[in-house]
Amino acid sequence: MTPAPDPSIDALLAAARAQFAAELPAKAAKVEALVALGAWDEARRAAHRLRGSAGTYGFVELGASAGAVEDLLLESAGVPDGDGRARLEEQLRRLADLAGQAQGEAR
Amino acid sequence: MPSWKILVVDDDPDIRRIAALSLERIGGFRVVLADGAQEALAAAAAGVPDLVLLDVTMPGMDGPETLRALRERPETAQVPVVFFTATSNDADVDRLRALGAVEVISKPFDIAELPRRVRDILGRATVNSAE
Repeated sequence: MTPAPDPSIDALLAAARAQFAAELPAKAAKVEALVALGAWDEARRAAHRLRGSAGTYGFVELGASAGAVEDLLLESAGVPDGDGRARLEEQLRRLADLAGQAQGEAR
Repeated sequence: MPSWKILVVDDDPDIRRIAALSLERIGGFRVVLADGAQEALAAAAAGVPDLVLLDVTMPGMDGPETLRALRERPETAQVPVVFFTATSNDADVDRLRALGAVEVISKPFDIAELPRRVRDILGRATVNSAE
């Protein structure tokens, strides 16, 4: 039997989404900082997490951007250079932009 | 009817939070959360869940290793395990099913759909165990 809809669920989900959105710039900055440090594995894991969580909270485009960062790190076998590095930095800028937009929309 | 107990294992607190909201508030399940393999195994030992939602990529023991550990314990050997994964393609799904997962759910997931999928899986598992 399916339980009756809980009228408070929408408010709870909205609050969870707003909290997640508020933290997005910090999450994007963390990925960027890990890349800058050359902590490739940790950067890939942080991007992987964001890929899974952002879309679930409704930030589909941001999740796809995080997925692109993860894929670029996977393709480069951990140490991007040359064109790979340039594409990674472009995608990191996009991720940061989307995180800022999401935070602004959720305010 | 007592509600089913779902053990959600994920190292990402954002996923644990939204999965708990979805399963508890929309699905009416009881939910136990674990942030990794050790906490999951301890939680399963303290009270056997009806189903485990298990992240594939976790630091330390990953999802497949955790599944193996659950299968080695008599009390959790038969508990249905569903993998959560953010990087699923057909080959990944086949590989994860071959490890013994009853289902593979891709992240991002639909928070309204998740309880329905879990209920379907539990329904199938109940029928199979009765046969």
